[in-house]
Amino acid sequence: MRRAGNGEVPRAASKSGKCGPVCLLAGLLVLTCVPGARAVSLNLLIWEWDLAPSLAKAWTGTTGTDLNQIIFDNGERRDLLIANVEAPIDMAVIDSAHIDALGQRGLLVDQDRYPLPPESRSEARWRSMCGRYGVPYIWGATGIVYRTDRLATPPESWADLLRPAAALAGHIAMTDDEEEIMAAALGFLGRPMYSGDVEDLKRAFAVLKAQVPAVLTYSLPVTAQQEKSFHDRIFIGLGNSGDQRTLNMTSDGARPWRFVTPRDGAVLWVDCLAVLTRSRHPDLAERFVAFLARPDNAARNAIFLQQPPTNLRAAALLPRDMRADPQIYPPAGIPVEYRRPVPTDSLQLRRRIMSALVAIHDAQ
Amino acid sequence: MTLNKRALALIFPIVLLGYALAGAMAYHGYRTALIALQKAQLNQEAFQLKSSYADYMSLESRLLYVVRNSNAFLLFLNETDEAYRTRALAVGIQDSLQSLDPRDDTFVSCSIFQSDGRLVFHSDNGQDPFTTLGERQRAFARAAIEDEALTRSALIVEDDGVPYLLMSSLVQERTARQPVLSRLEQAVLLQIAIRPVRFQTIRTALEAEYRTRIEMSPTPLVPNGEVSAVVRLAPDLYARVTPPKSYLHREFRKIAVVSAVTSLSLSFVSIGVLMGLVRRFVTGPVEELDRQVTGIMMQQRQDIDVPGSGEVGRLAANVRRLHWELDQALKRTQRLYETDPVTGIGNRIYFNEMLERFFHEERTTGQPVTMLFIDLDHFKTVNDEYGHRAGDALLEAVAQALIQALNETARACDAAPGIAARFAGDEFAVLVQAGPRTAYVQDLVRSILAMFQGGFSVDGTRYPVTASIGVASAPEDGATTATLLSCADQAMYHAKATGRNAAAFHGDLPALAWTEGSPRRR
Repeated sequence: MRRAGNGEVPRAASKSGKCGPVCLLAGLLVLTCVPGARAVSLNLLIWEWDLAPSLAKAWTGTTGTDLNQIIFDNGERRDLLIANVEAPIDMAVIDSAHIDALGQRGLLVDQDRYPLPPESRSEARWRSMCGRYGVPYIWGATGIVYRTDRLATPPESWADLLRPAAALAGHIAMTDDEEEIMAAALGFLGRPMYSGDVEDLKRAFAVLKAQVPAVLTYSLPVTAQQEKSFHDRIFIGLGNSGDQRTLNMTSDGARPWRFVTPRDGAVLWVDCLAVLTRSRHPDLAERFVAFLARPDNAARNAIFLQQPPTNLRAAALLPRDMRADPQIYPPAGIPVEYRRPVPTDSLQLRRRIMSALVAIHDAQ
Repeated sequence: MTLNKRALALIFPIVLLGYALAGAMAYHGYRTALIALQKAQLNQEAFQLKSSYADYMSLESRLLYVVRNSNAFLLFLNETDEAYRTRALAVGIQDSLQSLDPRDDTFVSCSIFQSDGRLVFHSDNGQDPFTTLGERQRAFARAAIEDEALTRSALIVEDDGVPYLLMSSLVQERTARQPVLSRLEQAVLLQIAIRPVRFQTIRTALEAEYRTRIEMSPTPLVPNGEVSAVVRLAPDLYARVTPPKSYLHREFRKIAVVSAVTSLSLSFVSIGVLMGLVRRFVTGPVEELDRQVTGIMMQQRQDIDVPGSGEVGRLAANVRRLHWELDQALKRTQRLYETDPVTGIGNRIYFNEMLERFFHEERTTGQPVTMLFIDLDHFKTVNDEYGHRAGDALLEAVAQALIQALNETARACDAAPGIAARFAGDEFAVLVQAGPRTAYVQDLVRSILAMFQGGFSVDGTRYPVTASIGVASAPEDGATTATLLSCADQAMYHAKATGRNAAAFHGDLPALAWTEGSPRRR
């Protein structure tokens, strides 16, 4: 779920004709057929800027195999790629709420077959969320990203985003991911983010509909920020811990962006590393999983990502100020809700809510 | 009836009839043109309807094609695990659909029905996510499955009144290809629905404009009447627009009113112009001639102006000539009436007339009037001795001499000449506008007496006649004509009594002579 990357390629493709998955697939096919490519390479489906470059380099240096990062920016489109048996993917970063459905469909390797050494094992809560088919990779919270140089008062709750001050009208970037957008609205209403109750969803839709006139775009702040027409126009948005890092990387040297966990409640998620059963190099992929799970590598990665590692040993290796940073570790005292799958029968309705919001926004 | 009224009575009906005929022809022409125009317009509007419908049909075909040929749809069809299908695959169909979303607010939805009629997927781009697929759309799908219709399209209206253009296609469950006819129970139905807003707008506008409902039929329709358009919206959908008769009648009425008003207006203008011209060039001159003739009869004018050539000019010239000839005849008669046939000078009638006129002037200007009463002495002996012919010649010569003396004296005294007349027999009278004591009168009396000094000669024969003259004047001697005559008569007798060949002024008569009254009455 980490919107750590900007997913520029698929995003741009989806803008210009909604051919995201198709284009991505075509790209993947080309990638695997390039003559002269190294004999062995791994294709990793991952959010943009979701892996420390030094680790990728170290992996290639150690194993002599290439690591191709295939970028996505929407969890549902990622799932579609994983479901497409033609797509040449070896590994994927999948959030815990989605992984079981794919695993049970036989698309993912059962990780029980590749036990990790004790020091590489994550906290139990993250392991249980990732289940049999994934190894916890990184965790974080869903919340608000904002510009300190544009907002006089830092946002504190979902209301500051969903019932925005007049000055913020036209400066808000929401996501196009129905789960996150509904999590925000349901969190604002004090309802569970995974609610499938139609009345809950109706109320959530009403809240989001009322916000539409103030919204600049329904795309991730990190994606929208890099679109020329939106650059410098986004002051606040729906994001995840770690997004502030990507946003600051693309903010012309200044570092105005911050992340805040709304005091209404922290929606915690965990991303898991999974190996696809159709991978032609499952053992190598599992080696890569184990490589990333090593406490030292997990700590390096967490420092780059500015997100907390799932392994307590790795966490212990982090600098003190990082461990105390409320942008990285949700402050104590805020109620916590762990992300989990939404009921299947509410999915279509949630997707229609998302598309209705975009339709209403487009009609304006 | 005056000439003008007569002209109006002639012109009015003819012009009116002419314009009425022209108006009727114009109405007929406009009516024919209007029908042709309406026909063309209706055909064009019906074509727009067809074109709009075709646009939506084309969009539906493309949507159907793109979804049917998408990998996501194929994955979806091949997946039996419903939860997984919904969680991981359904979004792919949504993406396929969105790839052709016209993004112009056109509502588009996509539904997938299993062969048992169960809805397994539904997605739309509407703004209300909580609406459910309408019962009519479900029924359409069920019917298509039941009828084993490989493809089918129709325009339906949901129970809430919203119209939808539907297009469905049966596809093979595993391959998404066209199903084999014998294995239709393995097929699923893919159905696209569009709200044809532009089509509906055109349809509503057409219906509002023509105040009629557009007829839709799956079987071919034929034009219904003179102005009626039929278009084929789809292979099995025909639309017919037939404006009600009242629609065109309203237009016809408008044209009729315009034609009638124009004809009437032009009639009145033409009649006005024609009447103006008739008055100016025909009846006007006649009226003017009439006025001038009336003026002459009323003695308010002397002559008639001839207004150029032409009939009226010639008529005026003839009337003037007639008037002149009548005038001359009248003057001749007058002269004869006032002229003494023996002497050629004025007679008693002429004298009386002039006396009245001089008296009138005396009263208005104060100019005195003096009368000389002249009686020839011994005239009877001339008649007796020389005969009446000689007497008449003598009288004529005396008359001419009187006129001559009158003129010469007036010229000498620079006064207006008076008049001379013969009363009767040997009596003459002279009237002048001057007082009795003026040099003029005195000279005149002397000049007349001098004419008879030693008798009066005519053609070498001297006749022993003299003149006795009585002079009286107004207002000195009498204020009326009768008194003046009487006074002059009296003075003349006094002159005769004092020895003839003398003159006596009434004002000089002794009182006795005056009071003795008039010895003679005429």
